[in-house]
Amino acid sequence: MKNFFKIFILIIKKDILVETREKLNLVYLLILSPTLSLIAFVFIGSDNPTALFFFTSLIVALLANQRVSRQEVSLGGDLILISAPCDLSIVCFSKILFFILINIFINFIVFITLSLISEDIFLNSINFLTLCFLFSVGISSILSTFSLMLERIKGEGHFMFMLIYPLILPFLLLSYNSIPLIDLYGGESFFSSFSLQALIAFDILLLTICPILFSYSIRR
Amino acid sequence: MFFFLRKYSFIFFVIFMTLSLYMTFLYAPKEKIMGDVQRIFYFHMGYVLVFTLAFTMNLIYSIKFLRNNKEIDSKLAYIHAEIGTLFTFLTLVSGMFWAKPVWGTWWTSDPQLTTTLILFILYFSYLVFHKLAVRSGVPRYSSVFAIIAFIDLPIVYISVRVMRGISPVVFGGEGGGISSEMMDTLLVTFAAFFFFYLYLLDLRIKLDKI
Repeated sequence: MKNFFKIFILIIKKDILVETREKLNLVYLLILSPTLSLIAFVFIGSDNPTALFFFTSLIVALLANQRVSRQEVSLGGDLILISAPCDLSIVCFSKILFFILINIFINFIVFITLSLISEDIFLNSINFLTLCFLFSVGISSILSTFSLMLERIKGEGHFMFMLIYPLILPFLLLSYNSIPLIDLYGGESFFSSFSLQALIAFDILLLTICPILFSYSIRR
Repeated sequence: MFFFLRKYSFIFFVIFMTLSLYMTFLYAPKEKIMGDVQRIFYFHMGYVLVFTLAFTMNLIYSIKFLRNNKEIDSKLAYIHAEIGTLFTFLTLVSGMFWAKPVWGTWWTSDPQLTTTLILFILYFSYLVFHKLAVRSGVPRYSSVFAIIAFIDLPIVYISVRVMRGISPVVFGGEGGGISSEMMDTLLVTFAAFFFFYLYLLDLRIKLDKI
């Protein structure tokens, strides 16, 4: 267990170091997130800023995830991790956590952009932050697992990555159903809603099975 | 037992389907509010049974393939997904034919309809993904896809009960439910479609020479 956390923290540290050293992905996110927020605001409108927030975050997350994994492959980091003398599920789990951190960064930028251009945004902050986190966990689990597997396939890997987009549809549906509840209910009522409970259940399920499936699918 | 059923599935299918057609159109009473259009429901539920079975088998074979790495499991998982996708499509179409006279629209954003459409899109993507994964030499990836895709199936069943929608609850619903004649017809139709599923499976396996 001690080793597990040691390796886990090492991989996260390595990823953060690579991102801060390369800086390309961070700059990319800093430009893409506000730009897409503004585009979505202009075209979709400001009737439902919360839905707008999740929509923009989702698009940026889909693009960012592929970029982060591609950078890892181009630097050869994935081969080092896969051939490392540790269980592959730890690698996948740490990658999921790293992408959750990236997702929080994306959410932060999108939130600031939308706060500047929209007045009535996110009345209940605790409910909103909870939904943001749960949404990030589900999306990160699926995208990280598949991008880790598919980025190494030459040629059809990118098309195959697009084919996994339907896998996030159940999460989108549950999150979409939870959005109106953010402002409607406060505290316990929000947490007792079916959509949120289902979202929590699937997040836990995915966070558990994705690393296991990853270690089974990539055998040395 | 399973191989016996599969071998004689066509005979059982013909017997039960004939009985089912008789019961659907002559034995089952006419529904008071919806009228004759309600009879689509028996076949509609049969399609639901088939895709549930097919996707469950797809999950089982995908797990087996990840564990044992035998090519036959991967092929069987794909075959089950093919049958399941076909019947999900038929479920959507038959549901639309039922919805038009009853709800006055072909499609509405009801939770069960939406989750079923998602299920169809998911497994349709799986079929393409599997082909590409096999071609790229990584068929195990499609098993991971199938296992995660299966998560949507319970949502389809739960959505009708928990999320606010207009789809009727057939089994165990409060105040709803169906009469005993209707239930008999439904069970016979279930049997007919179960053997139809086995027959299709048998044909498909023979086609792939597994």
